[in-house]
Amino acid sequence: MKRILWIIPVLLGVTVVVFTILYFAPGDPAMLALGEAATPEAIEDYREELGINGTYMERLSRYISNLFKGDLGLSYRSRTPVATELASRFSVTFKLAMCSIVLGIILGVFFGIISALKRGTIWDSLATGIALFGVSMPMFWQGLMLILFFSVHLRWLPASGFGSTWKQMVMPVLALGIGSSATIMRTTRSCMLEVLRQDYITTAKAKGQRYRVIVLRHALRNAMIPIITVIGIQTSELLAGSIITEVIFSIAGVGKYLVDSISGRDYAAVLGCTLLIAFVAAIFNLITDIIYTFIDPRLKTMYGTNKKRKIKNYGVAK
Amino acid sequence: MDEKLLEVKDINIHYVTEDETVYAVNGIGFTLDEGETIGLVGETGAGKTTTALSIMGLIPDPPGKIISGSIMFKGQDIFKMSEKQLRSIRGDQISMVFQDPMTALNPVLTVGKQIEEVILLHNDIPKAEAKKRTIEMLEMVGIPGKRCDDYPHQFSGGMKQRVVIAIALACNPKLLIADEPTTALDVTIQAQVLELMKKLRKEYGTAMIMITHDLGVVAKICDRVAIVYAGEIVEIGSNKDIFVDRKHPYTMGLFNSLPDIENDSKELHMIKGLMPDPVDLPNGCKFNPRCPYKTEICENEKTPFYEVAPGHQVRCNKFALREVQNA
Amino acid sequence: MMAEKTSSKQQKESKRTQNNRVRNETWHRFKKNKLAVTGLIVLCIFIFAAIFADIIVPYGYDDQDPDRAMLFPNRKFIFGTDHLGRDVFSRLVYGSRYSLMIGFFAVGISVILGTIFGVIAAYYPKLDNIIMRIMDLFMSIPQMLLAICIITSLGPGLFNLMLAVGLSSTPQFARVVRASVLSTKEEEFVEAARAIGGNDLQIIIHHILPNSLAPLIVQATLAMARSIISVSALSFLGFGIEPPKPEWGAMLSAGRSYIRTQWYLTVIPGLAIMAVVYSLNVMGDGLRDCLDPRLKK
Repeated sequence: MKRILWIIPVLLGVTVVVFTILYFAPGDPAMLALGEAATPEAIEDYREELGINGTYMERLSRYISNLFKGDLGLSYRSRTPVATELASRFSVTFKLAMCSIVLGIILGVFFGIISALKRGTIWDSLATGIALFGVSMPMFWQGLMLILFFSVHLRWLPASGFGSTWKQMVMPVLALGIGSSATIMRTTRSCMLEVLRQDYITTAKAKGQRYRVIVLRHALRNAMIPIITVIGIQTSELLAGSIITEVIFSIAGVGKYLVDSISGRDYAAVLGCTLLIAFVAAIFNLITDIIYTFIDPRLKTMYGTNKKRKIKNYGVAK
Repeated sequence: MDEKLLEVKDINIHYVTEDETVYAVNGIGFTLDEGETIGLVGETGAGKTTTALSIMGLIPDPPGKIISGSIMFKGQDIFKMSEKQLRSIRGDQISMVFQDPMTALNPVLTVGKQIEEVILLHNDIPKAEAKKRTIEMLEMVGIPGKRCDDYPHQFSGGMKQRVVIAIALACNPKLLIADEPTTALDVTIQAQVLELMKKLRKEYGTAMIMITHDLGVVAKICDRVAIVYAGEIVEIGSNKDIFVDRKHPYTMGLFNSLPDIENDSKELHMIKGLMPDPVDLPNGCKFNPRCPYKTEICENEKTPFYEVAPGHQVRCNKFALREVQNA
Repeated sequence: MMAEKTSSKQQKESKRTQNNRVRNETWHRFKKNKLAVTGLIVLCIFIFAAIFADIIVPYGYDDQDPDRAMLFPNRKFIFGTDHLGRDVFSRLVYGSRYSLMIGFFAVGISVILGTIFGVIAAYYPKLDNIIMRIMDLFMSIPQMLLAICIITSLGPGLFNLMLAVGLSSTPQFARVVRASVLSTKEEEFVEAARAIGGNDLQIIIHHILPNSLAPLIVQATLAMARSIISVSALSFLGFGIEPPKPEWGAMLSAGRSYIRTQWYLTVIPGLAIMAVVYSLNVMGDGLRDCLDPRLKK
């Protein structure tokens, strides 16, 4: 429970940080919009409308209080609420991110386990080599290569858009997912190898347990603990990576909106997008932490079963 | 026909890596009757654990290679068994208790599940009955049955070791191999665990191989003792033989180095030198570089066993005048 | 007092010979990892190309000639020409300067700032909490996003790019350094040094930092790989270097419009990026494996 409450100061802190960074961005939207000939009053009015007048503290507190109401200010370009702009785009980005991370987990964990089991053989070297390539390839290049191959060369898949047909989804998800799956695979492999060296694996063998069961029940459950952490990190990275992927595949999501806003000096929108992505990333970290406490019994007993303990104590006292 | 429960016959096991070869076990052999307890005594690196693992067929290959010899368990050769056969024996007929209780248990499974696992592997009974038996085992090792749903980290070191013993004995095996089961525990807990093992042995009639470097443990619990040095047994005999009538220079050195409460001595006695590196063993008798009685034969030829009394054999040329008997 | 001085000096000496031995052993172990060595060689090739770019390239990076635009790779232009008639190969070689330099300096910024914060946090527990909380805050924003924000604020440009990428990687270095310093701090020779009157700064520089080098080097190598990707990504998105400077990411971005026909414009710079990043990753992995204390005899 404490962990869940902790996220609020984190989100606040992130807001302050991002706000402050963008505060120093060059360019005055009022001047840009109204032109050089505008009167100071007009400029001041314009700024007030957009909510960008006042000192740093005034603007910051105004922004935060608006944030609680769900108001992210007005876009400098379109003068429409940033929140609405984001709402429509968020579902697209979310879908993309979710599909990609699922792909990443499935591929990563699967090949990571196999690679660990077949350590030293040619399959292992092959898999680790491919994974290294996957990690080293810049995401935008991956996307471009996929387009080159599947769109231009083979003409199988469309090069843009997302959501309406499954064909559109394949390449963006692949582009995002492969990078994460490579990292997850490497982590899974090293965690599994580490776990398989442990004494309790030998104990399990000494019981006469079959190897496959040992791997799945004993080894994997222990290895998952650090793997989940990495998956959490990857999800955050993925959200950032979606920015690029959306640009390449012309997907109308939060990422593309962010990039467009930057080019258009629409700092309100930039702030809104950034906060949205950062918030979601933070929430995913929190979810990861919570999952963590459920799968690691050492943490489970710390946080969870206090009730049971009391009953047990009474039983012993008798 | 008095068939021995276990016959280890002249086994040689090496660990082969690309850099070097470790000669871990060089011709170890002994027998064990049902219900008997033999102690394998020696320093770290003498080859005791390797021997134990080989009895269970758990030598990792690579890099472990079984060069020669055989291990007959109830008349069948362990080295020739298939993995499936071995799996049916492990946990059920032959069990092992490992040295470090802190790491021997899986941290993410309850202790109950870990005991149940070995029961269900070898017995086709419903889960409820397995659970009942699990609680019985826990009680038998002195742990309240209702703790079966607790996790290993909620137990102390001594209790963890009891759980490990419970797992090992859950299927009432014929042979229990205990690899330094008390070394990692406090002295007071050591005594408790040993008492427990004695009690269980009496109740179940389990044969035991007790691997240890602690002579006190040997005195308490072993019927017969084998002294292991550099992958060989250098002396083997009954408990009394070794404690009262020991012969091999190494054995004597071992006992001499025990601090003596009664005599007021200023220094501890040591055996000069160190046990040889298993990668680079000396020719002839493996103890010869450190032996005060060595002769030329000791340096050059492999020393066979000599029987100095019924059931008491020594691998030392000092006793060559007696009857020659190979191990 | 004298005795303590000599014994701490002895300890320092023995630590130094220990360090030398470790260094030789480490190098020996590194050499065994063929993949890592290959990475090192490839990296050296790129560094060489970057330094001697002027001598190697047949054309300037901004030699435009519309008549020879959009040519596929041929004997005269090994990697072809782009839409303005510039030789891709020349631009690629010059581009290595940017990628390597920016990557290096960005990591340099992270290392220096991260070390400062990490050491302060580890050494002065009162500040530890605040500093690490702030670092955690920054770390909860995805790295690329943070870099984008910073560079939005600073505006495009070479230096700003370095700063943005460098600052966004600082928190993780702070964490690594802090952990390393915390464990080294407890060792005896530090107490000895303090006993003979060394002040905090001296101790930090002479004793603690040299022993924290190992994980730092590994992190730095891997961070450089990530930085190069980040830099090219930012350039790709248009936030970084201004044309006509030949940065690989920017080249990719420009070539994107012609992907249907002049595919080499996108493939080749990407391969270059991948080669450098792969080498760095492989070296970083190799370094991690051979500096792993568990493997030390």
